[in-house]
Amino acid sequence: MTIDNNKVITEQIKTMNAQKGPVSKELLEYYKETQKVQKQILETIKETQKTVPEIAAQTKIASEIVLWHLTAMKKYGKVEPILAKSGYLKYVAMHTEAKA
Amino acid sequence: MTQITNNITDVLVIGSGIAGLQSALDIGDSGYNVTIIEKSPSTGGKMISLSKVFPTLDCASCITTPKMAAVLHHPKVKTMTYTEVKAIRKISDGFEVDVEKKPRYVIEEECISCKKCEEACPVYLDDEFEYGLGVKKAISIPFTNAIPQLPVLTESKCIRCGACAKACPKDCIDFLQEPVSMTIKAKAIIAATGYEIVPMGTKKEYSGDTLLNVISSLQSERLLAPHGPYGKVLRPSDGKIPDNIAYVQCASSRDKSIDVPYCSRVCCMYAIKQAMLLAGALPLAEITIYYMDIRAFGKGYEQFYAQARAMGICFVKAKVAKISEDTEHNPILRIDRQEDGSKPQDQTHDLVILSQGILPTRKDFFGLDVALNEYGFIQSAAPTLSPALTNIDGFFVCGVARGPKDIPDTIMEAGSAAMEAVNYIKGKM
Repeated sequence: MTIDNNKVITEQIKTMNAQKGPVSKELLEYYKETQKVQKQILETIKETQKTVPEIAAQTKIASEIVLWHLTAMKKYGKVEPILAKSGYLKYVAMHTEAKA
Repeated sequence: MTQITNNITDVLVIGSGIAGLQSALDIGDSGYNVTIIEKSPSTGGKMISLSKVFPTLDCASCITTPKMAAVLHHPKVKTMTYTEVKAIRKISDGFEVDVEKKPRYVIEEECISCKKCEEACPVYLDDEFEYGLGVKKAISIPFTNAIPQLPVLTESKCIRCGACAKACPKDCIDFLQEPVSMTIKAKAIIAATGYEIVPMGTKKEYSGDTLLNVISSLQSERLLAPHGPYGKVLRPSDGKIPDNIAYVQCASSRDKSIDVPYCSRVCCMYAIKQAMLLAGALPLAEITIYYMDIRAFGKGYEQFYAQARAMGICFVKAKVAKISEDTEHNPILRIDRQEDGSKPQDQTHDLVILSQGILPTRKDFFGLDVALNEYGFIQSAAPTLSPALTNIDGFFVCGVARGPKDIPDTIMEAGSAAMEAVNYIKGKM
């Protein structure tokens, strides 16, 4: 982004805030929670490959939510699934030497 | 809101699923100008989200994507995505159509589809293209092979951090974009508005909207697609590779209690197709289809059904009365077998797919007095000889907008509607 455009975007965001009011508290909470949960999950699989139930048990986060975040992080290159023929896939944080 | 007027076209096609794409291409190839209006950010409709088609098991995306690209580059076809029809008026020499182009918050002419905005965005949301199974960012290109390859900002979920704008190398994020209204004059219109599936919670006994491992047939299509949300067939509750999968046929069709008394026609065949694909993806899994009747109506469909049986897919003639779940979210089906007279039984599976029925997309047609049949699909004025004709001169219909049908019939009807529209315009010249 050019310096000029930086100013344009700052002005646009100011205008949006003036026209539509600030970003809702619920949305900001949702965003913070998402970041927190993903950080927690990444921490869990930084060094060891784990399945969804294993991550859920360790983080105390519901397994369907763990899967949702792993799906997100897989899509955007933060985690890698280790393929399996049955049972559960294991997931590992990218760019780490995780133990099998 | 910006107003633009004086748009003139020969034929306006509403919808860019396989029916809309085919009719637009046929009309364009005949030398007439076509404008496609598509409410979604990409062309392709439902078909682009399917895994494969029956009975050939050809890749659905490989059939649809070339048509999407052909439409985009066709000199006679103008495609307006992320645009909704607001009103249609019949006038002496055709129709006036009010449309509204929704803001993407991206300057389309400048965007180079580099996805840097999407990478930078920190907000994750449910992805509607994956029917809730996948995840997208608040600014994202709708799916891998979307056409046009332009991102859309979900403004209501944007935290206004500016990360997308900072990452954009072409400075093409515009947070202040507004909807653009315009009126298009068309000599003829083709309605290719497709269908919706019956919402998952409609049949209360099946609890499709609350049980985690009870999914819809379109969600199942995404699980089976090469670029599906998980990259493999997993169940949504815990990511387990399912060993025991069931299909419930007529899950919301042929049921007066939910106001869908008709047969949706294609559910049997898509369930058989999906079962065969699942058998290929998960060779050790047990797959059961609970059905009332199997409707294998097209060319090669009966052989396809026989092939599925030969592959070991289990067909059980039974009605499913209720679906509940155990403590590990395994769905439990209360079934009533219809052939051996046995008492109702409970069957537990890892994953259950409901073969949801098909609904018309609209009950009104943008203010136009189009005749609908008793189920809300557009009524053909001459169903045997010219199915594309409606009660309104110059207004044609094709595909599932006229009633449930498979892809070959839809494509055939799209061609028919295109020729009717061309003949109509020729007759007016």
